[in-house]
Amino acid sequence: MEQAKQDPEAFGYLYDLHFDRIYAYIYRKTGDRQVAEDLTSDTFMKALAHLKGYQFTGQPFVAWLYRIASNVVTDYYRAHRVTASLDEGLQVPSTSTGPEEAALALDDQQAVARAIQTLSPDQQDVVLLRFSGGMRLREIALTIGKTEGAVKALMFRALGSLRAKLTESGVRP
Amino acid sequence: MTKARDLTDIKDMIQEYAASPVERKALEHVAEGLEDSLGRDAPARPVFKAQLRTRLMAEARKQRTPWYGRPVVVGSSLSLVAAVAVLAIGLQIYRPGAPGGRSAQPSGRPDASGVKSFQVRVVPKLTSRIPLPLVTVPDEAVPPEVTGPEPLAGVDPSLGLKLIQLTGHPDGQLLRDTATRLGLGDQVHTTAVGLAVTQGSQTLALSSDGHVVYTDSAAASAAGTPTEGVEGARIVARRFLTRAALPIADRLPSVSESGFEGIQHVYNVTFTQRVEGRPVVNARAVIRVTDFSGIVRADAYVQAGQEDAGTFEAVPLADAVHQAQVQGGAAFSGADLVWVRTVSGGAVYLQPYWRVFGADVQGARRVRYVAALSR
Repeated sequence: MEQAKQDPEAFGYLYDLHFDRIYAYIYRKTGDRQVAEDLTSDTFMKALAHLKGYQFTGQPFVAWLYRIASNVVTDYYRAHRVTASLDEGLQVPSTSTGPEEAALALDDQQAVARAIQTLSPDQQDVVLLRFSGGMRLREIALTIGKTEGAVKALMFRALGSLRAKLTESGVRP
Repeated sequence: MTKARDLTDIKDMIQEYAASPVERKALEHVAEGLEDSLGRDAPARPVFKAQLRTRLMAEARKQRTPWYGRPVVVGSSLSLVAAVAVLAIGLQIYRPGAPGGRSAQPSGRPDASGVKSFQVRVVPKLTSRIPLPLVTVPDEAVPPEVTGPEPLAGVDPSLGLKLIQLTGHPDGQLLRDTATRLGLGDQVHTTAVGLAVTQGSQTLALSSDGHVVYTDSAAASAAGTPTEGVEGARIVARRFLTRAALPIADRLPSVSESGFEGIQHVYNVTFTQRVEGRPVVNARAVIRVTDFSGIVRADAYVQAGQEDAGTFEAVPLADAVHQAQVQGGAAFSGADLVWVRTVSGGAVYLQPYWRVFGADVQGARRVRYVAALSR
């Protein structure tokens, strides 16, 4: 980390290591590839600009990146007041057995993506950091600066909301 | 930060908060659905990733003080080590007649003064301490669907190439789950290369590198639904992978006929995984399907994400083609970049290799794999 403050190549290593997670997090929050690319660029540019001020406080570097990404997405929505066009933007890999089932799976995944976007920003964060970012609950707590108990409560309410939304959409939760 | 591989923490949380067993079960289903839906890759365009990296590196260089301006004596010992390393690399670059000559290559054409000019390329610094595994990949016939070298998809090897360490340490539970899904029970026993479950004519084995092998010695003589040609074989193979919850890495797997097994005709259905737009050439899922919908054998690899990555100096394309050429047996020309799955020290890696295209004396098209990371 200290090396990255002086050495561009070391920052490149951090970029290689964390790019995929940060991009996936932003893409799933926005549902639009072009917007995700723009905001991913902003996130890493901001990280680079503020790298000298980064102090290791026991939290992993990626947690710092997630916080920047979260702020960048929030700023974007404040500025644009838009709703993501999931039907057009979101592309999901298929694991189904045939074209019809692939289409069904795609519908289900778009329904999941839409349902996630109805959650509060905090709930979205815990869901995406857990299921897309692969963090455990205590790691999420460190990342978003809440207690593990608060994260559990957010996650529990998020799962309950998603269950209701997915049932409404006809997706088997 | 470790990539969570199971839902234990979520299930514990649900157990703690749910008001009833029905609610607990329902929320666990939601969590499993999210894991399945959001746990998949959301890959960026490789060209975007590469362009952003280039922009960031340029920006980083602008922001940094040149190394010679840094306070080496009063600064960190790291600066001193870096300065010594740069000096050492510099000496290596300018050593007359240095073998390989990749770092500093004569242009080959003397200038007006008769002295050869040197174009010094920036040497990408090794940024990883991940050990570089060595593996030999045998030559292959070019599959019919491969027309020639693929574009490098936004990768600039002169900036270094990435070695990826994969997550996923398969264990008995994973094998039990897969065996149960296939109806083989869950009595796991240990073999020379890992773990296995056997029931009747069927065996499911899992090696420590995540290679799954399913065999059914009775499949070639069993009656079943007739497979309807190539597309039918694809459907049967996909259904098998879905039933076993193994990754389906390819929307349109290639199908070849591999002759008779017992009294039944067998198709090989091959799924090729692509990472960052490039194929993984030695870890394809191959499902052998009979024309009565039986599965004689299936080779597949368990799902794995990225755990770590590092950038290494790349062997230039021209050097790779030359290396392929000097090994003989065929005439080689173009090449593209592919991934090779390797196992070293208990970890699994994806390592870039040059896939060099050529033709043997009979004119048959061949590919030869040359390591793309410089050692």
